[in-house]
Amino acid sequence: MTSFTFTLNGRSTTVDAPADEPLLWVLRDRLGVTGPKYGCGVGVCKACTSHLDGAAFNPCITPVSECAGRAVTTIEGLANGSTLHPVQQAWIDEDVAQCGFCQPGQIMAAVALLRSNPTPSDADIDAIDNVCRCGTYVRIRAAIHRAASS
Amino acid sequence: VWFGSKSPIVAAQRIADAIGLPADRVTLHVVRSGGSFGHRLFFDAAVEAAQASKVLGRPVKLMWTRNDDMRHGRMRPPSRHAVRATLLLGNVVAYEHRQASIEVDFDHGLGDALTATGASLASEPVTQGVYRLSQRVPYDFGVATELLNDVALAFPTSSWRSIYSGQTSTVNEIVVDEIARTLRVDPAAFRRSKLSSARTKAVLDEVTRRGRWGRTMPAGTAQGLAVHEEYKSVVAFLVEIDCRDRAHPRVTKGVCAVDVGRPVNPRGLEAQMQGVLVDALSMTLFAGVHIDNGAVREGSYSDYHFARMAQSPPTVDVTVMAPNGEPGGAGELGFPAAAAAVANAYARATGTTVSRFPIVSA
Repeated sequence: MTSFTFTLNGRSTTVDAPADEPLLWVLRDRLGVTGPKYGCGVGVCKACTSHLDGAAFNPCITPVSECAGRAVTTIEGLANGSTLHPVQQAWIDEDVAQCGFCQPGQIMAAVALLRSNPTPSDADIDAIDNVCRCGTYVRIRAAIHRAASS
Repeated sequence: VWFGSKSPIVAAQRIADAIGLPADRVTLHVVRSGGSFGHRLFFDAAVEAAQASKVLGRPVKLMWTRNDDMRHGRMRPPSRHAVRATLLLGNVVAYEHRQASIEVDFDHGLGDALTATGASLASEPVTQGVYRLSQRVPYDFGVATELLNDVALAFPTSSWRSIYSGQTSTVNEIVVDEIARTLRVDPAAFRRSKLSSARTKAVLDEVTRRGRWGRTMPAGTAQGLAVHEEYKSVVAFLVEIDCRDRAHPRVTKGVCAVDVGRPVNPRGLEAQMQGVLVDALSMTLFAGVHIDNGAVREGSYSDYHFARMAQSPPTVDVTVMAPNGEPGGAGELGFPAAAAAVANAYARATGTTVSRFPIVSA
């Protein structure tokens, strides 16, 4: 066990964990931050998508040691107090979620896309590779367009 | 025991059996969890967790990895279908559908302890009863018979969204297109002339109108459509597909009309129809599990190709038909029509006959 310090959702956080433990399990099992979901553990389903220094990444394949001294943002840290992030609001306005399991990752992927590309085309949105087993893609696309125009 | 369950009563009973406790000593806490799609009727991991906790003498958290789940969990059983339609003077005078399948596991009894006990004691397989109650050819096809021949193999199975209809009715709707092609008649007009339900004709008319059925399209692209009746509801799907890259077909548009008798939550109903099209196009085109020398090939979402955004239609236009009766079901309703519409569109776009699924990696 080693002690690691990083910024988690705006707060300095120190946690003891094996250096190679994926950040996903540090977040979920050691810190109780359960927004990032386990769907595959190998970085292909993207259900755990969060931000590392503002860019989308997958905590399931990122050892905690790589996050030391950096800023980790999960879905829990996206809203500004009680004011939802515009993408979260667009998600509600479009009534996107069905079972909801993949949705934190979908929202975090959408926020990262809009940060680098504020007015994405349908082809740009196609680059989001997160799995949604309920098939909410039509409304995810609509919510991203809505957030882009808001 | 805390887990996501659709059958907590029978699960508690089976967990009690597995660890030698009276049933009233097991308390199940149903937690919010991801979608079921058939899987959460079962409770295999919960039984394992109880057994592990008993052996270790302490609370345990037990989680299957995705690889464990895909390679050792439950799957929709494979099926093989043989259909013979006897045509005479432009009519179908006999329709015989014969299906062979690995047995679907209904041991959970659809959730309550009494029927679960009944399922384990019944002299006639429960599968035959479910098949007979759910399957019906909705067309005037003369003498129409559908028979299931299923055998239990050492293969963990589960019903999926749409249960038998996901396979049986999907096959029927693909064959209806084949019959229309043989008779050289338009598949929408042919359906209309042979359907007996006015509600089904109405949803079919709605998608052909809104989807501009028969519009001119470039070579390698096509429309396809299909209908389904079940759960006191009816639905029609029309899709457009682009198969110019055969290895990467894309459903570019979906049009759906759904009549559930009395819609309670129209936005939720629309979402079910949009989502089930993604589900159905995945199973029809890309997402399959293969058995190589007894081992499951696919292990995760890297090789089990469930559609992502890039394989999904940008728009799915859903018409919710006006209320006209008692509420019917919707969650499982859409799959067969959506799957068959995709298969029929693929066949029309490529000039092929589709008979193995998923089409791209059959």
